Amino acid sequence: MREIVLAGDNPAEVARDLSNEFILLFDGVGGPRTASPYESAYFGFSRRLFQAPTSEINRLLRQADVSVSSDVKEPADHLSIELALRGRMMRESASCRNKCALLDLHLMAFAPMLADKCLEADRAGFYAAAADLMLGFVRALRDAFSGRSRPSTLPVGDDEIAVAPGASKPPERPPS
Amino acid sequence: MSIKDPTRRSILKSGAAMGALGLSGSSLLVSGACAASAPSSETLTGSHWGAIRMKVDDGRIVGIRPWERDSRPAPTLEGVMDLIYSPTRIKYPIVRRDFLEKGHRADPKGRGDGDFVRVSWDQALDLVVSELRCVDAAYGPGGTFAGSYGWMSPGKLHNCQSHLRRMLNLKGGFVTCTGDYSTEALEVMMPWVVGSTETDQQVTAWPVIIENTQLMVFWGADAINNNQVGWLIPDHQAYVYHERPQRDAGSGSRKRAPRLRADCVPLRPV
Repeated sequence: MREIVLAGDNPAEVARDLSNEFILLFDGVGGPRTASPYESAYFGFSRRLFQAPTSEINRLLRQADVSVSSDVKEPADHLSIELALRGRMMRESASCRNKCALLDLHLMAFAPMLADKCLEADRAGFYAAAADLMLGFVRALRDAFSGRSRPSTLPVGDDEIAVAPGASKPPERPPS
Repeated sequence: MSIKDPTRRSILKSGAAMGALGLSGSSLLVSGACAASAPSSETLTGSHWGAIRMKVDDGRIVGIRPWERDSRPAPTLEGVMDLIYSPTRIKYPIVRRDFLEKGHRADPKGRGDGDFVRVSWDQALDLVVSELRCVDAAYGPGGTFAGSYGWMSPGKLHNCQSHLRRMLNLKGGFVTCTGDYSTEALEVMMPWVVGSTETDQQVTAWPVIIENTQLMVFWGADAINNNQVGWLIPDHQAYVYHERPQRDAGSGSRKRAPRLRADCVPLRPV
């Protein structure tokens, strides 16, 4: 990621290159190349958005007494919203451990497939690397908070990415 | 640096890198839960594929069934949900990068190669206004054509042609058109054939056709497939007549269209 960002002389041009790749990958412009950032897109056979995971994350948001900001026009099962909720839960008391575990199941239900799709479709590699990092983070999070065997390393700040993505397993579905 | 024993602090710190995958994490959530959505309901609505009842749960469409008085629901009706919830539906304004950088001096060769970038709605509107002013200055009112593709979702809110003309009326001075590309030829031709345009007027009803017609030619039309979809909201009643005997089957190289009980004659005989 760092190499790609530092490769160009003009930061604005680099930003536009990344913006172009972003909409091709995530906004649907790329058609079959789309790596949809919504959990619903990986749920069931329809590949439609706004499926059951949207309602399930909405319920978790209500339980956490938070809501999606009114200027964000995205459904609740967007990857970034699930990660933001996960971050908020981490800052809360240990009493929400079960909710954390449930949200980790949601994240793990689609993060591996999303990362695989990014790896396959991202031409420049920036978002594939970001997705790799995200997947390592989500896996480490799940392991660290569920008492499973801990990962060998974790990424820290802007230093090296230490968690390898590994092979994707079939996702475990959260209870409906 | 990497660590071998993750702590809550280290995990929180590494979370900062997640912003690269889209929305910024800090401002996504605000305190205070939204009220729970209204309980499940079923709404009667319409589509180009027929009248439908949509089940809505937690603000989401979770099921669809045809209107019970539609005797021949279109098999494609389920696709309405794909239309609404497709992962490839574009939700944000985007613009070709070369146009964003160079305006009307952008190289037209780049059109269609997917080199788009996302812009804000304000920026998108500014680009449109700027280009309209530029065309006005260079070519006058004759330089802007208020033409748009005609199909839209049923319901006048989605009439793209009306929206385009309303928007251009704010500026004034543009070229518009009469009629439409679908029926304009019919409106000229049909008065000579049947005495009316047969488009915006009452069309000849199927019982009259069956009673009086010796030979009916569908030219470049597949009545069975095409009548699944309608310009407004079809009730598919035409299928009742399609299935009545209209003509004995032919033979030789002609093919039968069983549901119409008619011959399908290839344009170029086999």
